[in-house]
Amino acid sequence: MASLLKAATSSLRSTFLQARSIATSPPLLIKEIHEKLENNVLVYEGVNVVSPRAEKMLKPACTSKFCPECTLGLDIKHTDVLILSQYVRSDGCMLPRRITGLCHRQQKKMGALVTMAQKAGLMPNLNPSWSKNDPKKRFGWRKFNKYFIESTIKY
Amino acid sequence: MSIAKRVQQWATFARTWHIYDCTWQNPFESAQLVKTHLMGLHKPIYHPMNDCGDHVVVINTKEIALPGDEWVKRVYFHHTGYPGGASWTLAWQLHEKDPTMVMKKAVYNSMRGNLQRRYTMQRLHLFADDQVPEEILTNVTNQIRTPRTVPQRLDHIDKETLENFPAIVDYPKDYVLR
Amino acid sequence: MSNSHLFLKSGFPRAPLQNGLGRYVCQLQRITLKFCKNNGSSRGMRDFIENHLVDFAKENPGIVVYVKPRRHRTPVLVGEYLNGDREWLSCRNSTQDEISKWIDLLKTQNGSSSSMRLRKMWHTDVPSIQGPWTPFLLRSPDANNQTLPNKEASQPFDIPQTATEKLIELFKQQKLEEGKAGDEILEQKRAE
Repeated sequence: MASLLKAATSSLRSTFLQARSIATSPPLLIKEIHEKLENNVLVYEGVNVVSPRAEKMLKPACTSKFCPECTLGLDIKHTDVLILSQYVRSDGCMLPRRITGLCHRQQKKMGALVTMAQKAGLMPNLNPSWSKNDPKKRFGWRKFNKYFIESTIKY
Repeated sequence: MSIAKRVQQWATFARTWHIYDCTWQNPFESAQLVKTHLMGLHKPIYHPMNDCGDHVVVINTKEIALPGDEWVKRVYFHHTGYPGGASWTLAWQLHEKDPTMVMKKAVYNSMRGNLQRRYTMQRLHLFADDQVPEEILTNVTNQIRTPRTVPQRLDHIDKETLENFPAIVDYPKDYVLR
Repeated sequence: MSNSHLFLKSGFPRAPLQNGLGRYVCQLQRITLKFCKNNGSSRGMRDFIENHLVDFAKENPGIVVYVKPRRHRTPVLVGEYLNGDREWLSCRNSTQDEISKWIDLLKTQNGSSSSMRLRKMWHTDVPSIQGPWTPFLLRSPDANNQTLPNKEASQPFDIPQTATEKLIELFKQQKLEEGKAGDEILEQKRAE
């Protein structure tokens, strides 16, 4: 079912990434990469998973050309972290446009909103692994509460 | 003055105590609200010559929020009076030194500079956190509503809401979860 | 800025000795009409004296009327009141209608109106039956048994619906519709 890609050490990770193009598994499934240490051997495994959001999808959002502002009339603020966190990877990176399916302008706006929410410290658990995660521990003036005004977004 | 009249007088001019929670509030918006209650402007009996101001207990002043990068743009000026005695302090530096000072100055500056201002400020009680002495808290009979809602952090939202929240972006078929 | 108001008498508008309750005493005691017999500026005053003055004096026996001609000077109305006030009013070039209106004003007021600074612009002689306002008036009875500070009492009154709440609402609606559709399919199958 799942292809087992065994690599001896972390130095072989690059070879694994190259090997992805000749994966023997069916290519059209969402995968999650698992990392295991077995007898001094680091094992990377691409496991097929069902999309965790498949059950909870809103119907109008399943169509292409969906946009929360134009289709649903949502006025998203930077405090709507439950919505904004869907456009973000687990390390706080914005998802690219080919995945979010937004138009150029909306993608820029959503990016700005995500930045606002992150600067205001409202999504501290979606951060790179080296992050301190607590907005109160930030350096200098960044540790104090701040909010943003959405009308300052230019596009 | 008859006894009933005297009681009437006490009731009308009674000083009430209000409490105001500063968490995630702009100090300058809040200053307008606090000032209204301090000076008694919210009362129908208000007149500049009668003394009808209330007490306001302001808590959690450490948690105030400023818009955008105002923490580094707002500057507090002080001059000692000696040559070269001018100093400029950024809002965040002042807030780090004394977490009640930004709020206090906001309220002070929102009022007109007259002889009454110092006495009005004596009725303002500021606390950096929510630890208020019991004898003050017993007086409080009203809470002032804040102009802004407190935003909720993603890691403080309960698990049930997180799991049941509808999704509007689905991953494409060939996506590697990260 | 003029400081003319500094030496002005100040007080509240007040009817002297509850005037008008039960009986009315006209507060105007004397009125003096000064005019010139041949100057044009006194023309209206002369007309008034000729046509209406006798009637006015007959109608108001309590008011002493003096008429004082004087050469080449402006026509003037002077009223003297029961409280000792004296009001001087120039009637230069006024018509007789205007003068009768001015005299009517002098007659009905209870002292010189311009000689007092009002301490407050509001005043009540008869306070309301409910009593004056107190801070405890119209307070919700819930306020007695809540502990302060709390989060509910701190929130603003009208919070507009956020995008998050709207999305949840839409999702609930979708689920309901799906449920209905599922029921219909079941019913169809039963019918078959």
